[in-house]
Formats: sequence, C-alpha cells, structure tokens
Amino acid sequence: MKEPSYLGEFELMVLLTIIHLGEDAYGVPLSRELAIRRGRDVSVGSVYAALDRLEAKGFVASYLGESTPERGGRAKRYFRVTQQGLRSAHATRNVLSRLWKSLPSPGEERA
Amino acid sequence: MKSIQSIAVATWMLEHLTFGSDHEALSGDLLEEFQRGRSTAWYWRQALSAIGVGLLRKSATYALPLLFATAWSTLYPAWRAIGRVPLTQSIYERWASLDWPFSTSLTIVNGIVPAATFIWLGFFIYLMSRREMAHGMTGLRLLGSLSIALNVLLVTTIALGYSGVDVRYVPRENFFANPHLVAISIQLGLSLFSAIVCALPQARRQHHGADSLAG
Repeated sequence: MKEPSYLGEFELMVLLTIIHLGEDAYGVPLSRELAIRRGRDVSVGSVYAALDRLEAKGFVASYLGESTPERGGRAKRYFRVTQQGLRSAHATRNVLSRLWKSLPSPGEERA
Repeated sequence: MKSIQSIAVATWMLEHLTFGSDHEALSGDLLEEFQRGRSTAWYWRQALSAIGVGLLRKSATYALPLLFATAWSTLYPAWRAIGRVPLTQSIYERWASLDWPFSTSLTIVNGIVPAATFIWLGFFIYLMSRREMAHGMTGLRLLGSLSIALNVLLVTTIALGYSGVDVRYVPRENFFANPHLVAISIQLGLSLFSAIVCALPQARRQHHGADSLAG
C-alpha cells in the first residue's frame, strides 16, 4: 500500500485556498486570499513555486484560461485540487489534529 | 512613461530569467495587480523575488546530481586499479601485438571504455538511489542519457587532448595533486552530470482532463 504523502505548512495553506476559491483559483486571487489569511503580503513567485510542487506531486491540476488586456494578453493559469490532493489534505489534518491535542496552554506545565 | 518603461524591463527580466512554463501566467498576474493600483516598487519586488525563487529551485534540482558526479569522479583511480587485473592485462598485451586496425582500436578501448563504463556505473547507482527518477525512466530516455554521457566524454577527450590531457593516463599516486588528473576528474564529472540531468523527470503538466474536485 502506498504511504500517505503529507503537506508542508505553506503547501497546505495554498491547497486549502484553492478549495476555498473554487472556480476562480488563479495566481491573483490566490495571492490576495493568502495575504488576507496570513495577515502579510505574499510573494507571487513563492505561491507559484508551491503550486508547482503540488502539481508535481499530483495534488493539484492546472489549465490555461482566458487572457485579458490588463494582463498584457497573457493567459491565466487556473488550479484545481485533485482527489489525491484532497486525500493528502485529510491525512495531514488527521496527523496535525492528533499532535495539537498534546499542546499545553501557555503557562501550563508539561506532563 | 518612466514607470511603464521600468515595468517593461521588470517583465522582460521575469520572463527571461525564470525557468519553466510559469512565467507567462506569473507576469500576467503581476501586470493585472499593477493595473489595479499596485506600485512600481511592489512590481519590482515581486519580479525579483520570483526570479530568486526560480533560481533557488533550479539550483536545488541540480545540486545533488552535481555533488554526486563530483564525488563519483574522485573514485576513478580505484576503478582503473580494479581494471588492472592480470586477465585484462594479458588481453591488452595480446591485442596490442595484433596488426592494424586492431592495434589502433586498442587506443580507444584502453582510453574510452574504462571511463565510459565508470560513468555508466555511476549513472545506474544514482538512478537506483533515486526512486522517483527510476520509476519515470523510459527506455528511450535511458538510451539518451547513456549516449549523452558517451558524447560528452568523447568531445571533452578530443578537446582536452589538444592541451595534453589524456584520459588513459591515470597514475596511482598523487591523483588530486596533479592538475592533469584534476582535469580528467572534471571531464568525467561533467559527463556523468550531463547523463543525470538528461534523465531528470520533467515537471508534470496536467492542464486538461485531470482528476479534479471542481470538474
């Protein structure tokens, strides 16, 4: 049986943002949404690097969309999460949830 | 006007200094944000950051093959020592006593064959140690990698031959204190590195018909 593949922190954020945005998941809204959620600006290049890693692992799929004049005629690249990506997100969440349970509150002594 | 020129320069740099297929969508995204009111400074920051990220990704891809090729090439004296067993020596002497063209072909056999087999062995060891590479390997790509290794070896042998560097000459002592032998290890390392780079899996592109949630 194939071992589950887990996601890094930024990869997980990107994957969840793609799911959140649905049909409108391309570079601009992805970066904006990530910046809002994280509370600081993100580098669009870093977002694309994470997307490339996710695509190489088969967790997201991309396709080219329409080009607009404000983009200088350049096509948008839309992203969608694959079933494999969804399974990996669930597996990562399960592992993290178990780990979070042992997190003590600030000031509390560890057992 | 100055701002538009500056943006054009940043876009040109982005599209020519980032590798891969992302640059069109990426520069389109940056232009779209710029049109919506982002500053020129923001645009430049994003462009330079994307170039930096791209270079880092590429260097990470090639760092391990380069390190392995360099390390493997240092083992060449040991490989030649293994090849100097009595059986190969007797074959060599017998072949050398034959008439032309067999005696001439000995030069190639003695020089290129040990080096080529050494590089190919290194290539297969690297391939076996990288599961994802071995899984994605096709017969054609394997043949291409082995052929690239041999071609680089032949070309560098000819090129280095003009400066007196001969891949056949490998003394047993002071291997890395000798510039001649350092040149040979660079030649071997370059050949192996080329073969590994040729075999590296290409990034998958699934633009249409993918197994997706949305579609």
